[in-house]
Amino acid sequence: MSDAKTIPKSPLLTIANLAVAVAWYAAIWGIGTAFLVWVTGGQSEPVVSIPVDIAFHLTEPHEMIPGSFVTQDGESVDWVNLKASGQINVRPSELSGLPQWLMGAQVTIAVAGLLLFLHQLRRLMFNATRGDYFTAANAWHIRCLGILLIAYPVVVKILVWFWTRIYHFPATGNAGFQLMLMPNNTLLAGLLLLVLSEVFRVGVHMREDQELTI
Amino acid sequence: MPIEVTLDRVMKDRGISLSDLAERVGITLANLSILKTNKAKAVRFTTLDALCRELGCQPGDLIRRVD
Repeated sequence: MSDAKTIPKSPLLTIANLAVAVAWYAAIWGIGTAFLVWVTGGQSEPVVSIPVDIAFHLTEPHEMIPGSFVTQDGESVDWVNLKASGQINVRPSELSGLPQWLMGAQVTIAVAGLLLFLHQLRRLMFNATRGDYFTAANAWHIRCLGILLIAYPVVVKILVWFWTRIYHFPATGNAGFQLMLMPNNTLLAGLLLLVLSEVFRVGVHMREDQELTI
Repeated sequence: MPIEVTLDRVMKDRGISLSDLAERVGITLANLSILKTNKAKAVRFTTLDALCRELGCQPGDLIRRVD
């Protein structure tokens, strides 16, 4: 069996551990609130009444945004060419009147996903602080983190598609509205984590081989 | 694994205890126990040589293949 030298713990690990713990408890509070909204149906009156005018400013000067848009002339378009700033008028389409509980369910599922992510991260941190790095459990936690990160943009894109069917976003002039961020970086990070989990899995085998070589 | 370590039989024949052999060979008791209970995945030539030297046997006396 190898006589592994004790690796000194990085102070960054302690800070990261603390940050993850804070996020964990915040997410627990969040899921409780979201669940209450889901169960009770939320407030009867919306915070803002629709239709509503929203002023916006985009960081990107031009971008082709897919979705369902209506121009000032009443023409329906699938793509809009955006300018840096403008004003839009959001109004419900024929499919409006989405029940509050559905929003609550959506938020609850989103926070549950976040909780699952943080749980895996906490387990990983816990093992790291104990000095256990190349273990089968860690490989599994990293794999779960990767899968969640890949699932996130996919779910967001599905929701974007869904919400564009609920609301029309009429463009005033060249203006439009960027619905949501498209977190493609998350997808890449998820793929990298999957690769890392494979590295860990191989590392576990190598460690076992090394430890069981007499 | 089809390879079986017969260290316990040789030790019994020589009348040597596990702790004595570990001390003479220069490996830990835990590692020798792993080897004796067939949990080892590999054996270094140096370890095998030291075991054969202390037990006065050949490598073939310590390991055998079973189907």
